[in-house]
Amino acid sequence: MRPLTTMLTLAVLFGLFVTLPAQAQDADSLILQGKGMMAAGLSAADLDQMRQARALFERATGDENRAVLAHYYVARADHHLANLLAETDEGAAADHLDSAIEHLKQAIALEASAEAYALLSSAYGRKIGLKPMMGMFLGPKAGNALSEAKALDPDNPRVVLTEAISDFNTPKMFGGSKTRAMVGFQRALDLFAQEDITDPLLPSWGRDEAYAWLGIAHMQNDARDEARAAFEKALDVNPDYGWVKYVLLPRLDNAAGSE
Amino acid sequence: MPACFAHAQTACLVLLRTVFCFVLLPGLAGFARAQTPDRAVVRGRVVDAAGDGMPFVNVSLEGTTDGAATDRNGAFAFATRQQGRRRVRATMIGYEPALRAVELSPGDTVVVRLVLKETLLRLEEAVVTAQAYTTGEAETVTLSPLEVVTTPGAAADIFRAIQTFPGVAVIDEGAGLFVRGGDVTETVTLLDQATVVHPYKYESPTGGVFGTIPPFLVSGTYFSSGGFSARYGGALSAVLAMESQNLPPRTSFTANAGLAAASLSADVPVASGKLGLRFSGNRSFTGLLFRVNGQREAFTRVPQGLDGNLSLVFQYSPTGRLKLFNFVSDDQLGVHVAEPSFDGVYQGKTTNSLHNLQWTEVFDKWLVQTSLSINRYAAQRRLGNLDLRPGDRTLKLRTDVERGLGTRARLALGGEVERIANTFRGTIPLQDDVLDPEAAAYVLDEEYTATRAGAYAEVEWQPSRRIVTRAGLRTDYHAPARQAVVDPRLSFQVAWSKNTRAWLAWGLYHQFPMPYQYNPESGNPALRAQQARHYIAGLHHERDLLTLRAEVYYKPYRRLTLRAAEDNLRNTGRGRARGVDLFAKYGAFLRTRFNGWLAYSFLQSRRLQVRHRGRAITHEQGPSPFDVTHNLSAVGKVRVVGFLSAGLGLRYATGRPITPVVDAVAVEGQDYYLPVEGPVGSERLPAFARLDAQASYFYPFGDGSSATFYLALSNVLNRANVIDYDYTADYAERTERATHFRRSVYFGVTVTLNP
Repeated sequence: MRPLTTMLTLAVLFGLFVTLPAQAQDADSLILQGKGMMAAGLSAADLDQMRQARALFERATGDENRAVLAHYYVARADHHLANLLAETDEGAAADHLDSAIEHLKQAIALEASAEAYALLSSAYGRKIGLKPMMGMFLGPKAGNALSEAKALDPDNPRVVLTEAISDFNTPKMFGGSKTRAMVGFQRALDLFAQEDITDPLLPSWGRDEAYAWLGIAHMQNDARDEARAAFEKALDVNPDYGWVKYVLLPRLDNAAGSE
Repeated sequence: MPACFAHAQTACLVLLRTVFCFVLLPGLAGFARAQTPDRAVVRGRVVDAAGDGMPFVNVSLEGTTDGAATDRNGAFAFATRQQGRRRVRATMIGYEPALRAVELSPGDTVVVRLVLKETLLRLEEAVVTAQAYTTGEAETVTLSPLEVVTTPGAAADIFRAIQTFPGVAVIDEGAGLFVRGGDVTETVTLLDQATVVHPYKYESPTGGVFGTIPPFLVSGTYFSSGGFSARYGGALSAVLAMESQNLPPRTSFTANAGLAAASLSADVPVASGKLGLRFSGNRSFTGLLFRVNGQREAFTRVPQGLDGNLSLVFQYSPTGRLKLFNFVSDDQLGVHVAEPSFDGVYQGKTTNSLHNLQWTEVFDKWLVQTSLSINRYAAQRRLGNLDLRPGDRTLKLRTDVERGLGTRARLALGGEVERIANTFRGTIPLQDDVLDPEAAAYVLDEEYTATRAGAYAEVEWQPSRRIVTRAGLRTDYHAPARQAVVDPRLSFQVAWSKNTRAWLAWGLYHQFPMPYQYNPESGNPALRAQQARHYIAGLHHERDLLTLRAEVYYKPYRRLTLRAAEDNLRNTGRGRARGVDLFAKYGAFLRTRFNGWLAYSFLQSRRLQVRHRGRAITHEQGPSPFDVTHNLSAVGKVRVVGFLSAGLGLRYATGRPITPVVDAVAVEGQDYYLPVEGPVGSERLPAFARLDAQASYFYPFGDGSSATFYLALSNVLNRANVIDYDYTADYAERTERATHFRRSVYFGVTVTLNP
């Protein structure tokens, strides 16, 4: 019985109670690991994975050579966390958006980039979604950040996508336009098709999201076939895209079934 | 041992060996690697205040990428090559960072326990200056331009909308801000750091009918009814600070046509994100309004005016911005006035302009804002022997700088120089209130100037997650008074929970007399600064869509300017105000189907005042002229269906105190009388009450364009609120003077085009 007891003890010790020490990692591997975890968390709408990804990015901010990217990705994780928490814990969602804005400001202070400005604009826009009466004050900030992004890189597909999403979500009375948004989604997709990012550390997200938003725009126009085609293309780009798979396509099916 | 058991045991052993070899061994190998002599291991647990483990907290060695996230139980472990004394840091959104110093040696394992405490207050969000109503990102109670124009009874006016908040008394139908027993001159109005010396249109002793600055030129406002910070000087009671619009995000043209006004405006981003232009022009013509609603006969010239704004915003870098704001307004009116000594027509005409250049830049960690402004004002007032052309010119230079000091403190410094010149030309009655054209009058041709220089320093410090304090010191030097005053101001805020916080504030406030009050004939060259102290305690609770606030205050006054028996001014006035302000707000504009607020103020205010007894005057303590005991405002707005919304606003206020005239003495050789007054503030006007309704329909069309149709019904109950008493020439009879603002309807349309 001794080997059995010993092994059981070991199993219990190592399997249940002992947290193995993480090895020292450089910033690049932290960011890469975080990106993978963030993608998985996004697909599964898994808060815990997203929080772990955020923690990895936050650790990477300790490396000054990668601080710009690390701050950007912390903000990206915060942005996703805010989306995941918006329905259940609005206060926490707002905290994550504040954090995203703060990290993006730090990233921009170190090195201004169209990517960071576009995400900053999006974070302001999301905050307006949470607290509409702040639109009067945050709207110009979102607009200014987007203007900076466009000035730095007008053909960046994520910049074009961000502007199109803003146009789509902004009420008409405040200058939004569904028509302009539709044109923007199409242009973003054209630009994504031409984009060739080889460095895995750099931001490369957005193509699946652009298809998803195009599908939503079609859905609002009652163009269900076009919407379905767009959602299916989003799944071609990212077969695990939970938002499309579990939310948007079922919503489209329900809309079709209710008639 | 039965054979079957032996087989089972063997199977178990095989399974466990497999688990050991393929699952545990790699882990052990990793652990062994971690235990190599060149590395130290940091392990431990992160818990919350209740001792429960916190998952997915980021734990790292400060200044490195070495670290780990906690597991579901809050446990963590990581290996590091760092040595010596280091700090382990645990961070999580919504919690204060936890730090623990450790001594690291190769081969050692260090165990730490970190406790994360929820962030209850944030420095940038704390409102430590007692009760303030703001537009901005952080505060809970806001007043956006849209809120202003949709507030029933506010007539799309910032000042009138602010009147619906607690601490501001309703005196009449005008826009005057009478804060906590003080008169309108005790509230300072700022725009982009510049002083708006004449903030009211169609000025009157109780302020004016409207605010000068239209709401759509303003992106945010900060209104404090007391206990405000050392940034603001020259005000005994309150501060209203407005910020003008920034860069226009897109091109848009707006046209508005209503029963009493028409306007055009354009927002043009000349260079996207860099240079923007805003233009607006407004023509008011109340003739049609008064014809539709009656009362046209009350005016010999209906109130009418022109105003225009031209603003340029140049965002020359991500941190640098130049903003040029220009505003000019012109208004005039003629109204029949029955004074005891003269029954005639009052004619008024005013031109007011404000030009302000503001520069914003960030140098290292300092945010610097500088403003250079000029405010010009010229008026003409004619009634009987009064033919006065007052004017003033104010030049101001102001700079504010601020920076963070770590994550727990913020430092703000600033200074300003302001030069005011008052001019008076024309004639004024020799004897107050005796306006007969034949009565004796002074001939005036005078100019008075005054320069005031001020500076302040202020530190906000958050010693713990629950507490934020602010300590400020302000000093002002006034040339005509040859006096320097020092105003210390302190405030302290504590949060019991995320939803509930309380504050205490104390401060000293000085306000110098206007330059013309230093004239040796009717004023006094020896006048000193007037003084008030603010003692404030407040409580704020917020949960979901409900906001509740309560504030109590005590405000003693000293050295108030008062007319003396020798017929000039002295600093002999004194008084006090104390009261309670309550505020409840539900919902959020544009977000909830219903939103609204309820504001109630209780006030007791007494001051030493002048009592006229023919040519003689005495001084008596009595209720201050603006001691409105109970003041209630209720505002409710509802989205009826689609883009159709409607609202009701109710205001009730105790009538303000008046000093009755109980007798009169004839002036020898003249055809008029001088009043003999009863005890000061011994009577009150009847209570003020008013119900207003407003509805609007928003119709979007094209690509981002829209039309908004609006309809307002003012004074729905057609109540004839009494705003003063009129006397016959011999003061033998008294009649009530009722408001001109009886039930009236107003409608119009605003069209916005976004090409």
